Amino acid sequence: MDPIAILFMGIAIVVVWGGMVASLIHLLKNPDHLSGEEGIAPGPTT
Amino acid sequence: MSSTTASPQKASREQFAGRWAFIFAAIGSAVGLGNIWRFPYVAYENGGGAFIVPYLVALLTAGIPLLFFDYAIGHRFKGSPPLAFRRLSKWTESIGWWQVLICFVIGVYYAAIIAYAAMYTWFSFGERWGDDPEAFFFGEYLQVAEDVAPNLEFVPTVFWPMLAVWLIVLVILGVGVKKGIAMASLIGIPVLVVMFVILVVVALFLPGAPEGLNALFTPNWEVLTDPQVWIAAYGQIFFSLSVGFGIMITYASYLKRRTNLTGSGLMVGFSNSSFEILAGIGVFAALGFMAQANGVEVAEVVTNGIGLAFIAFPTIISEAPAGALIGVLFFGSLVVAGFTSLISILEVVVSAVKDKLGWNRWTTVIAVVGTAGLISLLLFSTTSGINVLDVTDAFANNFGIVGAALVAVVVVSWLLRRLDNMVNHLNAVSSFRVGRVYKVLVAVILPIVLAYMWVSDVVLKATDGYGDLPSWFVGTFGWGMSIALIVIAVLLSLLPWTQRSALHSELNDNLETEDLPDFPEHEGTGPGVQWDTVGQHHHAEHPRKGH
Repeated sequence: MDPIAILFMGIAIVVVWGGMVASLIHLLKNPDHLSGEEGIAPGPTT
Repeated sequence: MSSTTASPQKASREQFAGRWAFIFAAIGSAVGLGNIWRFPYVAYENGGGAFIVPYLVALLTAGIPLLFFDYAIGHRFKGSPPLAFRRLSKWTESIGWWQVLICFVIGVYYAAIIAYAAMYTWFSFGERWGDDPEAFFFGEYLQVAEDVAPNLEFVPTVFWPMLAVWLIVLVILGVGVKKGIAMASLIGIPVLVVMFVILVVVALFLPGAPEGLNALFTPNWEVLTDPQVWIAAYGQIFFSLSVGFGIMITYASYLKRRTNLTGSGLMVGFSNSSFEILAGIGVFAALGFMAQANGVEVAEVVTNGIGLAFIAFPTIISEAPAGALIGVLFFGSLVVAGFTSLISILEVVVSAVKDKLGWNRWTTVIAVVGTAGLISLLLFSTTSGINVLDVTDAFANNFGIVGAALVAVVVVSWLLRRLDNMVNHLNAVSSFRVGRVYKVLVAVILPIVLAYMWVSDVVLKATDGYGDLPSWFVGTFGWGMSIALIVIAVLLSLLPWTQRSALHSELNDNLETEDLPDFPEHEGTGPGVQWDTVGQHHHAEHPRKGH
């Protein structure tokens, strides 16, 4: 496989799969009941 | 009008058990046949490795914003597309019905492709296609008639698997959102990923695989100055993400009041693209092998859609070591990906009918799936089915989905000027905030891109026709079908919502219904109140004044 093709396959994988992993981490750090303006607002969070 | 006053009898809408059930269902909808048989070809044809640039730009500037837009409408107004748009504004209900009818048409032919793939999974064991997969597919398997006119000459090897597909779909949809749709996706997506990863690993070890990957990933930077390449990227993202035709509106309506919408949307968008990259690697590794085995360039074997699945891949299976394994993994993946998408497509129709008529789920599912299945079997399990499929697919996607999405975005952003409400709603419950940039993307960039795609496709089809098919055929199943959907959508929107309908009988827990005033223009719970600031509701201006 050509180095340039390997490089761009790597870039595609890192960027897109990296985006997925970053989204997953972001999601895990932000549970539903704590997300958004309601999540940080005082009062009941039903 | 009494419907907007507090009512202790109001029922809750069906819900996903949690956000992961929703995320898996949304990924299951987005990851479909297009990821496997369309993306690799589009990427190859539009710059190879360089395509990643317009592709990512399209994902971030159109795909994910439109995904958020659908989520906001579905979650904010808690309904199938007709109900959600009705609650948004009475006269926009027809947009929702247009989306529902597009789903109905797509669902009707989608089942046929799943049936083909299911049969080819079985055929892989004995390589039933022999030495000429193309002749086998069109001749022996589909028994395509010379006359394109629809007939009633059924093909048993298409009819029976199609019937099985419809029965399975009936059961999954009948069981409901939690136990049917969510469970099918929670099982189907991991199975699909495992099968496709194994397929990719096997394909990567085939001789010639590096040449295939060279063809896919070697960048051609010159094409980035070509507007068509950018439109291709936006088109791929748009068609791949299941946005703009009601699916994500429907699924978001099944979410709990407090759900991180944008965080989930990012996960869905990037997961869908991740699977596309995986599919590109697997497909082009296999095509590289096919090219080498036949002593030709990769460019000569590259194809997409039905040609890739039912002609190129059988050729690869026949020539590759462990060909049967490749066949089972490839066609099995098509079946699983197709099922999770088909379920989401038909749930839009089920949800809309259920909302409007107030029927229970099983009655609605039997009526909708029974009708769709009957039409599907009559049209697509016959010797003329493939031609009808070809035309309806082309028009339902390009004329229908793009057109409906364009109208929805323009109406909400410019005519109703409700984009701020959508943004406020997203930010009220979501971790990833959206603001001015998002509004520019949805109100300006998206309409421009969608309008260009829609107009250019309509002009092309109007001037050049479609394929080699006779004009009466394209006129009936292409133009006629597309225009009929709009007319029927308007007529359906004129039918009254009964007291049993979801408009009057379902609680929208995004709003405090007890506080709602009696707005004749805005029946049910919804548009009369805007979710505005943290934990507070305020009554919107009367529609006559404010909107």
